[in-house]
Amino acid sequence: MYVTSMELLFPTWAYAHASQWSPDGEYLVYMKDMDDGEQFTASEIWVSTADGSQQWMITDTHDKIEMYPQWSPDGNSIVYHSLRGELIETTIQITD
Amino acid sequence: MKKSILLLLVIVSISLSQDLTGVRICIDPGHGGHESDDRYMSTTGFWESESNLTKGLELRDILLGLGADVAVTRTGNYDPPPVEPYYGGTTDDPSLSERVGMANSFQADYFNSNHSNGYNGTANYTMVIYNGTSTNPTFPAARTMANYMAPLIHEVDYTTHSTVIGDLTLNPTWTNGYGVLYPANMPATISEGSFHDYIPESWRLMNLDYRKHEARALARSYLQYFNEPGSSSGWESRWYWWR
Repeated sequence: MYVTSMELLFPTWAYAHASQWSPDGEYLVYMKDMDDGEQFTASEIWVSTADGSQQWMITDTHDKIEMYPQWSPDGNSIVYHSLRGELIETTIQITD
Repeated sequence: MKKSILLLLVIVSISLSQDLTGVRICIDPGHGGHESDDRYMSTTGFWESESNLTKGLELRDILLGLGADVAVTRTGNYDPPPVEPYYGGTTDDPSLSERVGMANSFQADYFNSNHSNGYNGTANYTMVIYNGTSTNPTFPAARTMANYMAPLIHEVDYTTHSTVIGDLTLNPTWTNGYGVLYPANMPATISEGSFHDYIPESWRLMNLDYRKHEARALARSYLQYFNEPGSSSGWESRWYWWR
């Protein structure tokens, strides 16, 4: 394997992890998580445009820790799980 | 003369037969950077992040010497990070998701996060933790490894006994388990070698050579897990590692 190019996409986005491209390559989904060294203490799911110009917080829950998002194959929804063991699907529609 | 030749043959045989070529291991020296989630003992000046790093780097060197491919989640322990610009996280204190993400990206065959423990200042045993319940581990191989690892660490650390346990048995109210374990795509464990809040042990852990004993025990557990010869706790492997 040869790495031909590496680019730090969004250097100031602290705690953004487990990013995944959307099927059309136009968006990224990721989680912003924090921990106490033992267990996750907070995490929300975010979506951004591929160039980072726009970002949306998909979840905004203080009582739930959402993690490890995945795009659906058709790009219309995102699946992730909560630390309580729930599997959650969120339908998204991004408009201009 | 005969005795000398025989001993030489045994040594050569053991040295050549221990080989982890093709095995991919990810080492996670727990905590890092003297931050709020680090563990500090003011009586002895012990930082868990420093002790974990000594063990992890020594283990890395041993495993590389045995031919394994090795990834380490951190190789320093600086706070604040020495490299600018500051990106918000630190390379010396990765988040839990970064640590396990490195193991997944590396496609490790095995992932262990090495730690020491703390409780009430009087306990001092070895505990190795895997994801799932004790009777239903997510990766049964992780429980197998835990059963190799715990007694081997106990043997070199001055602990009272060793035990293995699933994280959901240890924390029955949890759903997923430890943040560094449950997202792992491969068998993974947390090794709590000894208790740093037991003051005699805390003093022992301030000795760099003492920390390296545990690294050698961890290396022996990998040899045992991957069915490499010469990995028993008998005299021959002891001689090899303690030479």
